[in-house]
Amino acid sequence: MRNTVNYFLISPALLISILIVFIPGLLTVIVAFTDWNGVSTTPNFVGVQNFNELFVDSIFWKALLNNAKWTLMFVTVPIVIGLLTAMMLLKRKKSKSAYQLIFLFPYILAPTTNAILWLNIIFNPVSGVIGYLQEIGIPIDSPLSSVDTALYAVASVDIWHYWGFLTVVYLAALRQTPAEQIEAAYLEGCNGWQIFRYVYFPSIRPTFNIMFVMIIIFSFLTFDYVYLLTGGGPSHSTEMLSTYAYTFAFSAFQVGKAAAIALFMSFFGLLASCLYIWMSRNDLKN
Amino acid sequence: MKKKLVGLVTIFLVMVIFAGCSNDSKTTADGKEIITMWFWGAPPEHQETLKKVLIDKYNKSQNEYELKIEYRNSVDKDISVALSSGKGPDIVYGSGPSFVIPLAEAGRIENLDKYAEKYGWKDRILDPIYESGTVNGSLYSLGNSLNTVGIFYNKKVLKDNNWPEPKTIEELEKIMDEAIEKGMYASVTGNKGWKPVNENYSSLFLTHFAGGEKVYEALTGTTKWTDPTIIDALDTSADWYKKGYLAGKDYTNLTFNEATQLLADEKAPFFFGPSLVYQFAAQSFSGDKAKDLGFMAFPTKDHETNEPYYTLGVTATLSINAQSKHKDEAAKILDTMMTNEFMNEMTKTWPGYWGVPLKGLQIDTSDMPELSKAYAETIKNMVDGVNKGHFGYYSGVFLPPATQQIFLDIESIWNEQMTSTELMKKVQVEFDKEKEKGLVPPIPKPSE
Amino acid sequence: MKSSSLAKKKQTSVLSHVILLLFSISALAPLSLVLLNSFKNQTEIIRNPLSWPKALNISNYVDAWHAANFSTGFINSILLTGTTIVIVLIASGLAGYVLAGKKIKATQAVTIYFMVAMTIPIQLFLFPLYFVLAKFNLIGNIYAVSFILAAVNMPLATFLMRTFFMNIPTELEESARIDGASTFNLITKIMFPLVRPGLITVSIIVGISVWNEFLITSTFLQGQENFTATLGFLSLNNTYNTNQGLMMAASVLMIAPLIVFFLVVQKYFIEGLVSGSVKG
Repeated sequence: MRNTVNYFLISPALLISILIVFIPGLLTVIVAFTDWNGVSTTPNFVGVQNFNELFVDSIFWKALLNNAKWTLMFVTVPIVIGLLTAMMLLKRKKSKSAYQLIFLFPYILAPTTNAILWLNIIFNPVSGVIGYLQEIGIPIDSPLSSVDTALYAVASVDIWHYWGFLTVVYLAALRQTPAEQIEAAYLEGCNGWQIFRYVYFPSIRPTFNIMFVMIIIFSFLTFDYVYLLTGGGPSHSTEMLSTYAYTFAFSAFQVGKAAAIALFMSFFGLLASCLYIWMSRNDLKN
Repeated sequence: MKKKLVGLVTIFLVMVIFAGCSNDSKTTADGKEIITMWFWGAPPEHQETLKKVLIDKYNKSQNEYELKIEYRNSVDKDISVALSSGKGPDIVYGSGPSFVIPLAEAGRIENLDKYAEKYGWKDRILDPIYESGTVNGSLYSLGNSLNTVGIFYNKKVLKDNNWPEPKTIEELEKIMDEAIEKGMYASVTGNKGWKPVNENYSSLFLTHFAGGEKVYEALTGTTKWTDPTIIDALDTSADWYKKGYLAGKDYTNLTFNEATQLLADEKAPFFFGPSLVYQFAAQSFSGDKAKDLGFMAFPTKDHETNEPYYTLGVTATLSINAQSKHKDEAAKILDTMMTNEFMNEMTKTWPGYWGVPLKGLQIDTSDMPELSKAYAETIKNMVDGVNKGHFGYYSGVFLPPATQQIFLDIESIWNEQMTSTELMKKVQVEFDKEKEKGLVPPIPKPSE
Repeated sequence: MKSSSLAKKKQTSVLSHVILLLFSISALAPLSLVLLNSFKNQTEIIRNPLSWPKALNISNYVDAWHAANFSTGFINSILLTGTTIVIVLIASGLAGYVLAGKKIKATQAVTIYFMVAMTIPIQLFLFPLYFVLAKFNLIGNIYAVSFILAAVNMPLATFLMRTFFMNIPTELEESARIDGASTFNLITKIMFPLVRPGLITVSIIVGISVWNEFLITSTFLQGQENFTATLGFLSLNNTYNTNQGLMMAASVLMIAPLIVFFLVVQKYFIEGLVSGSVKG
């Protein structure tokens, strides 16, 4: 009986997800093996041709590498900043809410506006902040215009807009750490790092794990900021799987190939999921 | 606290119910049938112009239908997803003739032959543009406006520096060298935030350095894209880029908006760009400055060719949704957009985007402001040139979609990530594939 | 000994203040440029985006309000965001509760499923989904769209809710059961109030993402009268031609409701609730 009730409780989330995301997603898998152009009524099955073409396409490999680099940056920088600021806010009873709001500002502003801000005002060597720095004698150029630095510049902007989100999530989890454990640790004379390491961190571990894996998954799906800031350029130096897929789907009328790329995006997300299952294997055992 | 929450929830529920009542049927409150068109995002002043010249006028002309335009930042994606399910707007706005082919072949857009006959479009519209809108001999799309890449120049800068208007490429290069020496930009332009800007330069070098005839041969398959003339043209583009002829090191740092501002601020003599740039000029070439802005066709490499010579393109295409319930009305609206009157009225407040491709274009510049006048004259000159067959091709208009994507990579040659030959080999492979699939639009032939 | 540790504590407190302030500046300084430029016209911005506006000119705000059609856009956005939050909170809250307690045999399978669902790129299930919605004549229906957005946000929300439920000691639930609480009462009276921080966090996350969403809304909402504020905002912009001052003003207007929402929601975030009740 209890079991039935529990299945009933979980069914809304599952049904919504399966009907709207999973089944259409499965259709995408089929599309990846066709030459569908997005509008025709008679796509042909072409087997693994889309994949074969991708494997010999240097831009595809470059995009894959860029996604990997992107992931590395995202599982380090914003997580560290997020944890640090969340820990610091934990002790601030009064200013907590104000700081959270401030940190969230870049996250709640429309991506289009953030893109205009960074593209035309900050990274602008003619009249913007970069231009001003050049004027006062600092030899600096727009990092977006060089094939060597563009990826890092785009990632910085995305991280700048994103870390406040992590602060809020981590803070909410930290606040649930049982107070008596913290008190006990203080009484035993633990220092700040030890308290974080042995009390807070174990307590937020489930949240930490899920966010960690989510960041990896989203790093392979990342789209907005790259599309808005560089469109994948210069010379594909910031091309991502998602931007490349978007070009195929909506500019080149090759939806089949775009779907094939999407499968790769999902594949790496799946690898990350396995990592999650492994990391939380103890929590999941019945 | 709780009361407030209850209050909030109540307000929300009321809104939900209200929204539930407003149904989304396709008629207006007073029973008119709605005809829809989707357009790119547009700033308020442009939306206002379209409302005045197209929407209000049409809606007042009859009382059965109401035209509505939706402005969409992602119109390409929205239209392709909607059309693929047999939905979408009545009037289909597209990115160029080559994008129309898959839609036409899938039966998503309407064959316009009967309307062409009814309204006499074939006689009115420039032959190469009309032809480019056909698929297997039938008309499927109309170009809304001519577009060409040429030289915008600041007349005052040329005068102040005693530079004559350049008639040849050598003269152009000489002026640019001198400009660089004086600490100016040789020219301004840039693809910041919108990579497809590159197509203007791939097209420019194909048309004016390789020549329209050579590109015609490549497009029709009688020569390869790896032809030495074409490779040469692309190598020249890389030379130009490296010499700083394309905005120095700021090509990736400037938008068209910013580039026009620099031109207006006398930081450069030239801006090589598409005629649609006139749209942004109003902000920077304001007031008295408006008369400083000039536009000329780009010189050709071996100027034995008949000049002025134009890269032929359209800014967008208009078609009719095959599922539309009001095709006749939609065609009627398209017809009003293919007239001298429409061109003149739109251009008055929105120069740059509505150079209607009419054979017998008659511009009426009497009550146009300076920039609109200049744009109208540019288009008039272009029509004359195209009628004589003096044209090359915009890659975004005449190349099939996937091949066009490779042409956008011209910057990889400039950044030395690839050689011209490598890029053109890639183009040839993709072009052959797409040609086999029938994705190359009809190619109008330039005169010898 | 004691005084030195106090001094050290003070030092770290000052240090943490400085660091928090630095991060605040890094978040706010670029944004102050948005505010600054929202009062300038296009030429002023392009000439010098760092200059002080010549006058406190609010015409950008007025133009943006009308041109982006914010009066209907805001209503649609509030409806869409509100509905989505409600759907997500109910569904993910219940699912999180079940998954946290490993109450069903399929816990691991369901976890894996949600992981997989999270990896599916949105751009590519647009086509089939659109086809189905078109068949049911649901294109342009705000509630249908909120179900799509809820589905997209569901995995992460469920995982987060699960972690929040995991922090609640099992004894609490057991003692409630012994007292004879029904599942319904247990969930609504005991469990949901205990995970309030989680519910609030999830509603903030979902709220922001739905408010700013454009890939799905632009595809499925049709008719300018159904556009959200974000779509209205984007309708002023194309890649060739951006009136930056106008966009800046419009985006300042757009974040105002989110700030109000955040502040209201934070009020319900009561300190020490969890530890308090656990002790009792």
